[in-house]
Amino acid sequence: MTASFLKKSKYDFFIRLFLHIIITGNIITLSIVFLYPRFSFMIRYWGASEREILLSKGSMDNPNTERLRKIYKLMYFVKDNSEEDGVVYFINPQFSLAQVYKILLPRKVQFLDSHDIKKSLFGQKKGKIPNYFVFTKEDKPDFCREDEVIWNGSEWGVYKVENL
Amino acid sequence: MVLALGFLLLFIIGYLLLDLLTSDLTSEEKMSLSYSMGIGFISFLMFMMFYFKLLHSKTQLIILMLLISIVLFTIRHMIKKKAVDNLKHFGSRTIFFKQWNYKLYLIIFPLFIFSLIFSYYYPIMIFDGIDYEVAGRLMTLSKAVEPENYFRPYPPLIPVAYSFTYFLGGIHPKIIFSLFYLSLVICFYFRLSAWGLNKSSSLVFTLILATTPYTFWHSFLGILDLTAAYYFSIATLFWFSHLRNISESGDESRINCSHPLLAGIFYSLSIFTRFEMLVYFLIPLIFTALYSLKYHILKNVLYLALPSLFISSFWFFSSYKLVSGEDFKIFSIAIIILIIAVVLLYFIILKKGYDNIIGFIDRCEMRAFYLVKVIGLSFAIFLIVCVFIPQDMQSNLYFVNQLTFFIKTLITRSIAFIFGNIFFLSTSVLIMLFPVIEYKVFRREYIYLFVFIISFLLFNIIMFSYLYFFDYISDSIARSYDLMKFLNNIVYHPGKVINSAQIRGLLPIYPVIIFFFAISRRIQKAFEV
Repeated sequence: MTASFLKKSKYDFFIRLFLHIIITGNIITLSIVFLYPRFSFMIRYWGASEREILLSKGSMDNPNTERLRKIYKLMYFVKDNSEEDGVVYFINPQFSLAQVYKILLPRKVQFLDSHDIKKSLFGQKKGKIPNYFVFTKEDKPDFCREDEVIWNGSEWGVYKVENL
Repeated sequence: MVLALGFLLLFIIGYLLLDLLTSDLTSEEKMSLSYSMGIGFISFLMFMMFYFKLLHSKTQLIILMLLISIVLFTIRHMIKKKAVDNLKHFGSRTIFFKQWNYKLYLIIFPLFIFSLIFSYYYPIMIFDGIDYEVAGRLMTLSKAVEPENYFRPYPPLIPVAYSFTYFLGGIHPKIIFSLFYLSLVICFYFRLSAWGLNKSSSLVFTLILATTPYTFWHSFLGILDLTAAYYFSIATLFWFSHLRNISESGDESRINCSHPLLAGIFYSLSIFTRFEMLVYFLIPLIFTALYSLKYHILKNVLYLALPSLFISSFWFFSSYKLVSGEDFKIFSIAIIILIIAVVLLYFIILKKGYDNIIGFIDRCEMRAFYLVKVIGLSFAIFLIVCVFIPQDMQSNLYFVNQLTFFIKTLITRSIAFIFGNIFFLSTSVLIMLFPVIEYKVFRREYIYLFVFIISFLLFNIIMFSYLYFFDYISDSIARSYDLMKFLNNIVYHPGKVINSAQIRGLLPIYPVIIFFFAISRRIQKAFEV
């Protein structure tokens, strides 16, 4: 049985052809779904910085979500208005720590609950480290003076405290 | 410059380790594996050093790597000298570059270069990838592994590998995935060659793997799945060739133990990358135990299980400090299952005796295909019946409600599984070759590989149906049931739909499926001149 089964047959050609069709199909899929969108994005954004790419819609195969773009926009706003050795406190944030750190490192970051700000800050290192509080209009802490808050449009504000 | 030196040392360490652990691999194969072995070893070492706060500067890391290289080289030299004195074989099997196929590289290198360009140009933009990237950057800054550096209850190979590149001054850590892709493809080619396939058939099947859209995509996406898939699939290929070695020699003294050991190390590195691999790892572990029983070679199970137990246990104890309580519970259960599985196997072997178990294995093997057919048919009927369950049957009764939701989850998971796979073209279309394979002349290990693939796929569907059902993972597809939108996204925005944890979890099985078809004697015959 084995011997007859292993004889050369007319189907051999079709098996080889079938496998080559698979490779061709793969290359076509690769080109249309991944290579073309990625290269066309690169041409459109030639010379763009990481910031511009992260704030863009992304390539078609893996689009940048609206939510992530909003978060990055805020983080770059905080980055532009804070110093690298500072500590950034986010009040009632709606995003993950990793998304914040991706843009703000090497700054230290802490998430705070608006009801417990004083309790959360108790025991923090004191000294001449710049501290930044990031919050929405609804969550603005009492100790922030309105005229010193830097607003990102009408949504988020950054307030600097030199010494805690 | 320092980064280049670091990667060079990483390759050297990987190569020397492979040279010490294995004796029947070709130099080319060792070269293709040296990257993954090196990065696995260095990641584990760096994780321990971070954990115990022993790593302070990049100079220290480079000197340490240099010292390890020297020590490994000296040990290798001593063993080689001893082997030459005793007229024994040591080292590589063939002359350098003998198996190189320029056609392979003509096609692979452009793909690799594209992957490198994308890795270099695009920052990490995918949700999960950001967590690993930031974890790696925080480890580099703090030179320690702390709970606040750790965002995901996932094993640390990828964050630590990222940290390795950051530590040595790199800013584009995603290149590690492009190198994994290249290594996977080349190693796959040499595994096929080692199996006895000629150059043209090895080339065709390697190209199917290399051009598989999903595999290529993951080489620049910045998430860990390609790495886990790499270790798991290569380990499975070594595990499988070990099964063949057993059945061919059938004598313990003549069996080379390097393959199960290498498979064990690579399985453990896959677990060190993605924890679900521990569940999948039970499949080869149990099969090896059954197979080894048949031939009275029990130490194979230990070779396979010990590296995994060692690395998993270290991760288990360190994760006690790093991850949250709920995740820790899942880890504990997984580790306990693994330990119980190993202990139970030995207990059964000792208590029941060889003969009873071998009789049982023979009966199982005879019915393996019938069993697969029955399971497959029942599963298909079950799904069809579920589709026709009317909506009004969902009463307010908790049990009925839950059962209906579970079935819906199972259906949507199966649909996601099927359509997700259709997108990957090669692997799904390859199944059409199944009638060509004459399975009546299957060798015993071939049946094991077949059952392994089926078990893996079933494990995947069942495990993720369970996770989605109990809301461990949010399932937008199961909730919305918008199939047309799902299909539209598959073609235009695959990143939105086919990158679910379930589909990503299938990556390890693709190389194995391609290998399964490639080694079929009927298909090999089609390539003979």
